[in-house]
Amino acid sequence: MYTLNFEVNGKKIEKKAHNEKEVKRLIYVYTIGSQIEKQALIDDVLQSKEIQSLNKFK
Amino acid sequence: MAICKPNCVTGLPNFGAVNDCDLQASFSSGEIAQVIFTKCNLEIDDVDDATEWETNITNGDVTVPFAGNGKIDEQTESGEYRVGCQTVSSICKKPFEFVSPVTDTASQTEWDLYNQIQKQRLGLQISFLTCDGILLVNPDWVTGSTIGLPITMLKIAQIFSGETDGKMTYKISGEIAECRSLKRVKLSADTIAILTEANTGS
Repeated sequence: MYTLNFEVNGKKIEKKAHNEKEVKRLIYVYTIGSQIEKQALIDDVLQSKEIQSLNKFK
Repeated sequence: MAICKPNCVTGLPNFGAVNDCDLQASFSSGEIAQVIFTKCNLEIDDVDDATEWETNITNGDVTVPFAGNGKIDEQTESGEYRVGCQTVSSICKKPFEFVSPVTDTASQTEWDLYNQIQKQRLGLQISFLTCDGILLVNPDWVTGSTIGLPITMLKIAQIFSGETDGKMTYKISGEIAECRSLKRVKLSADTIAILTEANTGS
């Protein structure tokens, strides 16, 4: 489960994604920018999840 | 012959891979099940928030005519100019058409609802819901902005075909002033329920 917090034009939105495809979908719906920028956001979210998973095993 | 402008390319998109063993799984509906009219200055924070849509419908800022069947056609481009060895169109419009045979057989009042849409058309924008629950909205939409597409022409017709056993239909047609591909948003079941059930005209 991923929790994504978007803030655009001063408006805050919290959405939950159950898998990587949903992360991608939500970032494409709720953010603006080029594909490269959106992909970087997706990678950040997925990477942070991996870091959290790794921390559990420490 | 056109002049090459490499600076115009800021980064080409990567379409990625598809499962070519099951291409049907990658197809999306090409049918419009409902049209949604929104007040042209109505800002939507969360496109997939059922409560926000319900509030907007209750406040009279959103209306969803009865279900039907519709389509959005290929755009027409006109007003062409020749610039830098390329032909550039200055006008671009995308036509749409939606037909519903659904009427209010209890109170026979849906005609007035369609008339109200027609009367207020200058303040309206339009969005489309496909048969697989995807909302087609303005490609520029982002949290806190207007979601609909500007309408350059809107016509609502009540049609009696005169055919044997034919049914009266309402036809909503017009043109939207947007020729880019529309933003596709997969809606949750809760949001679809509000958009397809809440505004029955009763």
